[in-house]
Amino acid sequence: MNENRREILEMLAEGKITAIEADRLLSALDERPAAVATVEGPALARGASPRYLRVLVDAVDDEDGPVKVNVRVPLQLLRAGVKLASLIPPSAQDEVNDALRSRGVPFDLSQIKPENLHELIDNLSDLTVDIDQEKEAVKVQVFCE
Amino acid sequence: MIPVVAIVRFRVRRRSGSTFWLWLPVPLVVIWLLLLPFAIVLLPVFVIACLSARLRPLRTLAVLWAVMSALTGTEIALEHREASFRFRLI
Repeated sequence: MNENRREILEMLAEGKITAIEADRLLSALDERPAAVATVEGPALARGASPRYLRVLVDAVDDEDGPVKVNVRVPLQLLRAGVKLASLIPPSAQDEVNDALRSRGVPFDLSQIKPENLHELIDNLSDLTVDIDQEKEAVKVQVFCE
Repeated sequence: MIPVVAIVRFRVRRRSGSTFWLWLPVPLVVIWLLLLPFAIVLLPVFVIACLSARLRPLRTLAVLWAVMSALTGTEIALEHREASFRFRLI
């Protein structure tokens, strides 16, 4: 649930707005185009292919005060990375696979193929990770846009 | 297209209360042009290195170009009450 939706529901719960008004506001939120959406939450329209992976970290430190980190990485870099991985010679891939396996990561580099990447990126459009820690006041959001 | 401009923005709040701002656009295209002669000179070395590693030089170049191109649009921003930093590749 994004911030705007939560605010509308809170206003409804507090009796500041009527159910009809809340419905109208929620409908307006749903109709809002992705381009207008801010970094407060996933800004991807349905059916649109995600272009960026965004990581937002919002932390409040007792001594240093609020700290915000905002990182945007093009998903194209993921595609390029897969191509780069395909350049690794098979003998080197075996060494990397063995090293990963010895550290408890059973991963096969040879299985990373560009044709499988489209499916992965399509599925990333639905990815939203929210980590909200009340005690340490750290909020992490990971989403595609 | 590979990144042509890097924009660095920096803000520091001094103890006196004033704020120091720095907005620096770095024309990467000029740096690429300056590095181009070196790249041409080093091209045979690159080809030999690729062949010795059993890599196809043209494909390797294409992949490296793809990685460089994919960096366009990268943005890193840090915000603190006393300082902030933003780096963007265009």
